[in-house]
Amino acid sequence: MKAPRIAQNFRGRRAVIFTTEGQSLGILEATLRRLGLEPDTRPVPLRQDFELPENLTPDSDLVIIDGDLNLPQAWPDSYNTSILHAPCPTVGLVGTEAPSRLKAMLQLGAASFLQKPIHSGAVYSALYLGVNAFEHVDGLKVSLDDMGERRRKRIYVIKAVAEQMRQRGLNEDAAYDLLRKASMRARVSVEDYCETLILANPDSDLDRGKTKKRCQAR
Amino acid sequence: MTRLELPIGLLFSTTGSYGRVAHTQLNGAQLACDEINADPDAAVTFRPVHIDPASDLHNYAPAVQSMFDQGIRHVCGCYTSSSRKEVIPLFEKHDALLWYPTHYEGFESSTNVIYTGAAPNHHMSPLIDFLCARFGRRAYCIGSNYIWGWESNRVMREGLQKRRGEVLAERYLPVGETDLTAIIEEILETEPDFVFNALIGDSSYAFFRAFRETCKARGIEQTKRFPIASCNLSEPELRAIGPVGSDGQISSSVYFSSLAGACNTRFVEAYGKAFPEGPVVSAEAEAAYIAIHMLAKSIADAKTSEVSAVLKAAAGQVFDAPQGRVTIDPETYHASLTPRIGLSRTDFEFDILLEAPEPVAADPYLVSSATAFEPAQRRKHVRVVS
Repeated sequence: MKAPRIAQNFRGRRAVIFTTEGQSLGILEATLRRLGLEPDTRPVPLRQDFELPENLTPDSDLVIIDGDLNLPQAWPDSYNTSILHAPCPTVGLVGTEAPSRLKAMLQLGAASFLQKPIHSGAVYSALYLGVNAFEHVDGLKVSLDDMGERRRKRIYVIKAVAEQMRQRGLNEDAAYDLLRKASMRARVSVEDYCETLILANPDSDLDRGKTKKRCQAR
Repeated sequence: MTRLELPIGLLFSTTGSYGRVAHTQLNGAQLACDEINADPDAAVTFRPVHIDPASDLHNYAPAVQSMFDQGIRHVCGCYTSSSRKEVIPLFEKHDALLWYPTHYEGFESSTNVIYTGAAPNHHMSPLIDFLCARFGRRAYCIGSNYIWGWESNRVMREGLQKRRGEVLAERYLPVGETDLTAIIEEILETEPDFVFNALIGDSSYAFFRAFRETCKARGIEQTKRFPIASCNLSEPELRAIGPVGSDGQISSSVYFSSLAGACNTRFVEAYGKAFPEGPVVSAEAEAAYIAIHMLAKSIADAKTSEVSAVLKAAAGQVFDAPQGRVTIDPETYHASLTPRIGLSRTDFEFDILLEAPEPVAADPYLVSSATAFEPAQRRKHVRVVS
């Protein structure tokens, strides 16, 4: 399995901060600057609704949201984020340590928390966990999407194996082995290779139309 | 302005495993106090209160509490990072100010601490460049088993990986451990281009002696074949090592007592006169000397000893120190210092091999030099496509 890349230097990232004005904000901004980030503070009064920005990118931004605010329930639709995930690393500021406030931040994908009043010595740890947990979940999502794609394409592997068995008189294992080696030579996955093979030569599917199709690529 | 009279705390271990070098810090701080107290134009007279925690971590917090109980709110002290981390919560709770005069591994910026010692970009980064250019890129890393050893070796490992070098082995010893036979055998077996030493105190001195003796017994010229590089090797420690193993060793520091210049000559002479029985001056002594002078200047500018006002006045504070001009960075509250590489001599002093042309701002989190991601341990040459 590929070792995860551990982020350790956050220089140049923009830190978009949604919190109320106060002494904690000053400590947070000063500490972020020491860590090489560029604070972009959007002060929000308590009990006032606000919208989350639509221009965030995972590699260059980081969001800090205060659980004491009237947080939106979800990220804007344009991000198409999954449940409990955010469009960029997100850190929650914990004032009132109540389950409802923690849940509100968790729902927006906060992967780490920073207790108020803010202690400068805790900021780097919160960013370290927030960014790396985000990267980890993002990596898992990519992996899951890849698995789904392979699942979708398994019909082509079955068809290609069957074709090799018919054309070359091989058993299942030998036919699969042949396709796997060919895919490795082509530096693509066996699923992609078989898909290309079948789509490029649809006539080779000799049984096509003779039996009722029970599974189709979707 | 009426001259203030102010009790300050000096929290240095003059006994125990790292007592020798911490004693030089006490001396440096004491010398600065004497100079300020003797200066008719100074805004403050310091009444220093010294407590010796005897290099025992458990003694630090009670010592600081005792200082606070006496009404002290300005303290200069601590040698090890573990002792500093032990007392920082107390400083924050009591809104007091700690002046920390020791080189350290970085990754900290407490709002109640001012750091006058070297940060990792002052000592580690220049040393890695020097070692790779001069000796090669294969290192054997050894350190005391606490944060200084761990982080110093991590920075060395990442620095070497960035330069396509490698760490052949990384070994740790408990603070105070002096049995180094197995480690020395392993160094000789692995044949690194250089040894990076992050041991402290007695362990470090024992290592220099034993390694030199083993090399000599086997006909190996240690300084040529297995140079040892450290970021915490100073003049009093060369004396502690003794005549065997103290010469020809590489040290990365911001101060050596052999530096040229009238300011340093005055400092070394005054130090020697005040403390004829030693231990001799060190980089840490100079850092403590800087800290006390910076404190006095900050109190003069703030016109009060109130902590938040002094902290504000310390931001951007400048002092012409024995090593050259030193400035407190208003953003990080770390000092800008001048990196240097020294080579130890038989007279327990250093020859200066390299020197930065001007003071370098501290980068405690290495945001200017560290890679965004931790480097991979091994470069993959095969692309997996299964």
